[in-house]
Amino acid sequence: MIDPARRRRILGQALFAALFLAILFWRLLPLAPGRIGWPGPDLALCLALVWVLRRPEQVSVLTVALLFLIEDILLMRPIGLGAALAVIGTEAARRREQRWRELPFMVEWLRVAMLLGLVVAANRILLAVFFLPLPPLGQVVLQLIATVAAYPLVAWLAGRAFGLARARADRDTRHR
Amino acid sequence: MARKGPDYATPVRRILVSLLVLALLAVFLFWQIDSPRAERMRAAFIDRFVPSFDWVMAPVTKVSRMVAGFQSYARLYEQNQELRRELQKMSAWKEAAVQLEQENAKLLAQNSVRIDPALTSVSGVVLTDSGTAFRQSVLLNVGARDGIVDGWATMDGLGLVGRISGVGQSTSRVMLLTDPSSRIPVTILPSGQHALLTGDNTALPALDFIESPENLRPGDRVVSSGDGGVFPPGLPVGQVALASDGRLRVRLAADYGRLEFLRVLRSHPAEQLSDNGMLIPPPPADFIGPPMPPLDQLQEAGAEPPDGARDD
Repeated sequence: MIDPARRRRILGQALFAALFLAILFWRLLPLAPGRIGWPGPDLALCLALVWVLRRPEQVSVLTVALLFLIEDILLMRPIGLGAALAVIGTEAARRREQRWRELPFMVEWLRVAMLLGLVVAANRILLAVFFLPLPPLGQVVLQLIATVAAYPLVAWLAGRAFGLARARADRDTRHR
Repeated sequence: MARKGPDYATPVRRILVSLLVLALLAVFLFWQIDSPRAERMRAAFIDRFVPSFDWVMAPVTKVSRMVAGFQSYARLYEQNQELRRELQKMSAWKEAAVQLEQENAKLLAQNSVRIDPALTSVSGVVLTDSGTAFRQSVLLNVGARDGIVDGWATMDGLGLVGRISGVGQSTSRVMLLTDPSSRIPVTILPSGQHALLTGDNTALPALDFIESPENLRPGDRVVSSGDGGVFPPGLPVGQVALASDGRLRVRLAADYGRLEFLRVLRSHPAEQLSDNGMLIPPPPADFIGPPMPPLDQLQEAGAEPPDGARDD
């Protein structure tokens, strides 16, 4: 039989992928096609960061790369650029996860906001370097603000609905 | 892979992650270098996977639209008043339209003109939204299988919506007029000036390259001009509006809040004017007199007109 830790990891990975695809699916629904509204938060990136900072062993790099590549393809973005930046961002969060675990949530939020800002800025710089059409700066900033504001909400929901609590005293199996 | 071991902070893992990032950037570079092929692969991917989600997308969309419909019951009274007012206006318009129709019928009979039957259309249903706030496009459920070709114009019942950009086997993407990369040549009607309709991710796309803006007035009609040979000329686009920043913009005629069924107009390559001589045969040099009689009389007389003159 599969041992419980491995099964928990696979289940968590499947749950993460299912939630990610559900968010993508919701964005693609033609609820009001053609209507131009405020750019909403990038919930998928929020979810990936929350999950990496709570259960890093459940979100493998390959999963993140594959899911963000699918998102790039379906949302008509430059293929591969968003995925590469998402992998870099989640890896940066994963490396600092052990240190951030002891800190209060406000500090984590602040650092995640900085990380998101860096990812957005890198995306914009790369688009400019390759002479690709840039989205208007105001809308990008609005989306960044919305994403940062949605982070505590996603974290709270993940903690309540999927048992991704922050403190993990008993499950520290790795050595540094 | 490195993720299997518990000791994931090792340099091996770091190297593998760097390789993964490099691979993704290589994909990006491939997209950048060979964009048409990458876009074809993207279209094939979307074509393969998105229509299979149709069975779950349709009910969710339907339910959300029904909820929106119930919400509109709340303002039933206002809507009723509004409709009555519009009905009064419409009856005045109807009178004008009937007169114009009679005049038109008279003129057509005098000219005995046949309207170009080549402008037929394929209807499609909107499958998905663009999913991001920075691009404005929708995915239709008709594709190369139904004969759709890149660049064809797309309308709803009221006006121009956009053009096809990207065709899969059974899906195609419509770039809306509001997309930041949409550029359509238009004519502004009473003054007949040419301009370029430039989408900029707002609800009212802007008019660029106007010859003399002082001749334009808010409310003027904007139709597609057909310059460049991509679009059929004369499709209604909208009305000129003056934005608060002083730019001339277009209030689109199409109902952008409710894009559900779209019509893709077939454009035919035969409309390119490459050879003037075939379309308008030169008059015989030795013939001076009244205009030529109709074609059938000519045929009876045994004079064979050139092939190109009838090949429409």
